[in-house]
Amino acid sequence: MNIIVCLKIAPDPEDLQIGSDGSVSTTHAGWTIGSFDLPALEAGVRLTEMYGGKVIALSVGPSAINQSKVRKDILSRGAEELVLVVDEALQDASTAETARVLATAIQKIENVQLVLFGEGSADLYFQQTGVQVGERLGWVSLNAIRDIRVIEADKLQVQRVLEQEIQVIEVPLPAALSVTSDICEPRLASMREILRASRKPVLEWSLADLGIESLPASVEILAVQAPPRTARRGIILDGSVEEAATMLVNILKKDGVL
Amino acid sequence: MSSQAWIFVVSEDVNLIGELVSAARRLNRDGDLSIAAVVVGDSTAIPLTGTQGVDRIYRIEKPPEGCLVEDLFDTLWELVNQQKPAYVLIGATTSGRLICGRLAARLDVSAITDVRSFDLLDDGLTARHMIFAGGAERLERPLRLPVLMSVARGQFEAEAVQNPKTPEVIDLPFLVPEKRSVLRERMDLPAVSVNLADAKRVVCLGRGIARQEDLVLAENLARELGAEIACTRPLSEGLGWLPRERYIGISGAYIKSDLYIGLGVSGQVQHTVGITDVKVIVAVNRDPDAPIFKQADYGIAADLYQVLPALIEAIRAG
Ligand SMILES: Cc1cc2nc3c(=O)[nH]c(=O)nc-3n(C[C@H](O)[C@H](O)[C@H](O)COP(=O)(O)OP(=O)(O)OC[C@H]3O[C@@H](n4cnc5c(N)ncnc54)[C@H](O)[C@@H]3O)c2cc1C
Repeated sequence: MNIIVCLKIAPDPEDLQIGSDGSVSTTHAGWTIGSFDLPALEAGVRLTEMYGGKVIALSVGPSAINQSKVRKDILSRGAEELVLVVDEALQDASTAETARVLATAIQKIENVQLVLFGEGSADLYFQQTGVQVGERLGWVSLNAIRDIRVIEADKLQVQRVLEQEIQVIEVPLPAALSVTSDICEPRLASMREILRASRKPVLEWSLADLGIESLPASVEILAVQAPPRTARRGIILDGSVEEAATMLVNILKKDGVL
Repeated sequence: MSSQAWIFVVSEDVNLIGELVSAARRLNRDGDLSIAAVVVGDSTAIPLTGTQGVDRIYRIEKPPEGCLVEDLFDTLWELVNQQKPAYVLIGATTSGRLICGRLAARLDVSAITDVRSFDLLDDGLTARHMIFAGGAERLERPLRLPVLMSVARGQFEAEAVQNPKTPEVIDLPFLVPEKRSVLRERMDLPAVSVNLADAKRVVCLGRGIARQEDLVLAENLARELGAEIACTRPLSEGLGWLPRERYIGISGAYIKSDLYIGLGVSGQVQHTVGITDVKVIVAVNRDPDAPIFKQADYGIAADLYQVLPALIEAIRAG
């Protein structure tokens, strides 16, 4: 069984720069694989290790996603191939556009029965793309999956976590599943895998290669602003731990919160 | 009635309908739209929804054995095609997110997820939601109809309407999809033990806590303070030391307590977005450069294992 794992490569939210006017800049942010997508990649790789087949990683975005460091990172974690769909029109693409491109690319890749997604992207975290892609493909589409087993050639048994219950579900293939971030712990790439990564195939497609002539935006982005922050005092209490603790208790009483 | 005149509110969790209707009423500022609630199964849903002033209730039959509640999608899809609502608001539960994504794909629109607020301007609707895990908010204008939005619990307050008219109730069959998964088993998760949003004081543990056994130390402090125990996401989702409802942040709880004491919490934005409404923030971290100190009112830059007993001592002494 070949498995596609969709990964979002995006500016690292930890590198966000917030100006005093609330402006938000990603200019200095490094682009990385979303931290919630790594468990999906690991889950896919483990399935192929147990049941055969290979993992093909798929990512779509502007040219900034096509960096050798990121490509290596993906391919050293067990994916055997990487497909990148690169087009500047995918900068700030909303979920409908992203899902359309992903679904079209998936249809172009042969012999795929399962597509995995992370819980949400690290930058937007809308938790929509996976389910939208599944629906666009006309496949069974589920979210919040925290365990996957193959029980028949064309059937999985999965566990799904809702707010108040855990479900055990039989899923006919083909299917698109979004997994939780605790489905499994992503591996650290071994030296051998890192070396092997540079020999693995990377395919780069354009929207035209997918037969997509235009990608009209479904939403207009009007502004991005840091939410207003409460001003904090930022007082560090010095002295010995005992002195600091006593001081803190006194202050908290004075502030009326104890 | 013209074909674009409806706002649909949809949730498999009937307790969310009131909040969704509240949001829908704001969309209906000019009063020229009608509001329909789409609920599933239970007849208790009817009186609950009725008091909130909806014009119509669509009640989808309860899912047959082996079906997921999200399989109501086929029925919903038929309804959306028939009525062509101008807006669809979906409760942002896990099931709601699935239904929302499937609907968005069929309609070829992008859902605006976890909407925090919206404005109706002359040139249409704009809505605000979070990106960068809470580091920023994005203001968007949907360019296609219908406008599809998901709304998380706690964003809009449910309000009971005075003298509501009796809504028309329309029963719909549960159309079982041809291609579907089969629900084999379900287990209830342990009942939610705490509502952090209501806590007056919170002691929050981060990865600075080295061992699960050490939670007891923090519990002692919490007891002295009359505080609830909370944590960062890795302690709950990764390590499983505390239940999900006890982690604070973008994908967890938002708190508005008088006091928050973070022990071994680094202060990543995904976490601190959940404590912006706290009155007084205290941070204990052995790294003097930890980002949490910039967002705290008071900080102690020391080992939490020394600070914990000292703090308990100081409270008892005081
Ligand atoms: C999309 C997305 C959503 C997320 N949602 C959430 C969320 O909702 N909630 C959430 O909490 N996180 C969330 N995260 C994770 C978040 O980014 C951080 O990884 C997490 O909050 C860090 O937890 P921490 O502070 O406990 O751990 P760390 O970042 O590892 O920090 C541990 C801190 O403890 C200090 N320390 C260690 N030992 C001691 C000691 N003995 N005494 C004192 N200090 C000590 C260290 O100096 C360090 O600062 C999310 C991440 C992403 C990408």
